[in-house]
Amino acid sequence: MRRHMLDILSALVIVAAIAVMAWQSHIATFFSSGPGLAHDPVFYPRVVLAVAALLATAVIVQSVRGLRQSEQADPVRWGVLGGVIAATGVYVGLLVPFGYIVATAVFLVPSALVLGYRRWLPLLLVTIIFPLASWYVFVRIIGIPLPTGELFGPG
Amino acid sequence: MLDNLIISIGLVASPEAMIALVVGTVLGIVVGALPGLGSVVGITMILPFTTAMGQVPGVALMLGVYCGSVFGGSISAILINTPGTPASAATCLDGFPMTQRGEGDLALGWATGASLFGGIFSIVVLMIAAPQLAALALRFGPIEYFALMVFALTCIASVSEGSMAKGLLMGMIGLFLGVVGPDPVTGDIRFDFGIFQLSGGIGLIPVVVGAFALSEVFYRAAQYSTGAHALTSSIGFRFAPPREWLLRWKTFVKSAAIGSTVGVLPGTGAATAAFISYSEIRRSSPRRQQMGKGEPDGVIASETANNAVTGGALVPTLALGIPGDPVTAVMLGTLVYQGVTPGPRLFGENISLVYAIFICLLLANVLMAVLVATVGGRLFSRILRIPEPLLLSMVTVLALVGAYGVNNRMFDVMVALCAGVVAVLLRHARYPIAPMVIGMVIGPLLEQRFRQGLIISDNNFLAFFTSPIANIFFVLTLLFVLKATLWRSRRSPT
Repeated sequence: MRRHMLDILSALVIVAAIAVMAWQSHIATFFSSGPGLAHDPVFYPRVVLAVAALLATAVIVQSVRGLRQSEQADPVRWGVLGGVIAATGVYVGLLVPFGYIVATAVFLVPSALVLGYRRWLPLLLVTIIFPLASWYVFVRIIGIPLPTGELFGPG
Repeated sequence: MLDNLIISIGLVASPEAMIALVVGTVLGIVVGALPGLGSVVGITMILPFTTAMGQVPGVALMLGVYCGSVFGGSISAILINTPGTPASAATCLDGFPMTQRGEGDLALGWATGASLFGGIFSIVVLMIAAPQLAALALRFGPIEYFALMVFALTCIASVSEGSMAKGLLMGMIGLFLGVVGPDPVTGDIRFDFGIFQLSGGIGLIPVVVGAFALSEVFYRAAQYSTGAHALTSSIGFRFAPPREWLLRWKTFVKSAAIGSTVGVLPGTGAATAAFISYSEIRRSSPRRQQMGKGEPDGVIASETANNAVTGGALVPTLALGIPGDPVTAVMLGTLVYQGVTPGPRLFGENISLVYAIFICLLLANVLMAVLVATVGGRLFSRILRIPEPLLLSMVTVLALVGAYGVNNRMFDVMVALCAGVVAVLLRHARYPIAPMVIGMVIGPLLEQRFRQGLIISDNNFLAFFTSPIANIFFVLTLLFVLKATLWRSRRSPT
């Protein structure tokens, strides 16, 4: 895809998001009021949205002007990107039911493989050591409770 | 004065206080370097211990954690483009390109030196001018704060590489993310779409972690392996030659002055100071053309300013009893628990403790530099020896855990993941990410002061232009915007 076309598409997506937010600011009702409150809670957000809409329009205009001499956008390995995002999403989903240690160990293998790592022994060592060591640092030393896993009973 | 100073040195020189200082500084660096965690987490971690300690050791432990954590954020920012704390987000802009160039050890050296200078500069400011600066801070009302925040927003123009419109648009998106949740005046919930967790707003740390750390992982995964993004291993820690330091003395002094001044103003914070300083140095440095591409001035600007905030933030805390941010609020609470009453009378009635605080802060800064230069730098730089796929996978885990650790809730993890996905798509379309973070840091303060200003002026917008302090900031904003626009039009006449 050409770079300027990508700019136009991305700016259009942002404009659509701005439109949704602007619509939300109109349908929301606010009951509270107080002395000196001539401006309701969505006055400032609307100003921000209006400026953002103007800037997104400016990006579109700039891109349309440069469309003819536009270069190709950087190539992207969409499959790998999708794989890494999917692996991260699954990891987030596994955290609560399986707990931090199991979920992290399960995540590290496919994540490293998708990113192109093929040495099994270091990967195995990292899969065992990293979740345990990081759990120890966070939970025992820093005192931040991490998910223990609903499947393994209340933590 | 000399008698009090000798008493204070005696208090700090006790084994208990020295051990507390070392432990606090080490812990602070570690907590600061872990993505998502920061000074607040560090201070609250050690809070139970301070209650069981004496006055000075307790203060030493807290100050060690405070200084160490502000600096620690720069380590992960430089080495893996993941700011440990929002205060180090600006450090990524030049620190990480230095690492990519194989100068990670040098970048750590600049960051350490800059942090040490910023910290010591702010202590001198604190010692000389605490009561006077506290009085100045009291002259800042909502309108003056609003003007300062508008001025702070000009740094969006400085950090916007490529299209200015895209940079400003990202800044506006950041400002908007800051309005989600309760209205700062009425408490009405806005833009929550019926999702309960959004009623408290979108957390800054999950967004920073997602936008920088996760997007970096996704971005590198998406690139074809050209070697352009491969990290060059540079093991160790290195200071630049003295000539290089002397060449940049103006950057150090300017950034430290900005950090100390911003730190004095309650509620502004180290992230704001770092971005204002970065913006100013990017405007004024003779090496500004190289900034954003791995210029040490960028690292110095950010790290000097964010560490200079530590001393500055103690000015209103000690001299007025007004905490400037959550960290100083916790410290204030601990001091009160220890039987110390911060306020104007503290400097008269308990000057030995005040001097002890100054000395602890000074020692914490020196210790921090020594620890990083001798052990830490070498240790942290070894991170780059880990094969990239393994490193990226571990960064993902640490980033998500950091987001979780803020409030111990999965919603923040999902916010971080969403921020990472959106940020990588925007980066592919060449939208700069830093302006969004700047907008999110400054946005809530800007809105709050704007609304308060309207209330006290009975909704009169013209009242914003009647304050001399505010007018100075408005004029500076105008001048900087004009200068940035002219500079860009000269650089790209088309």
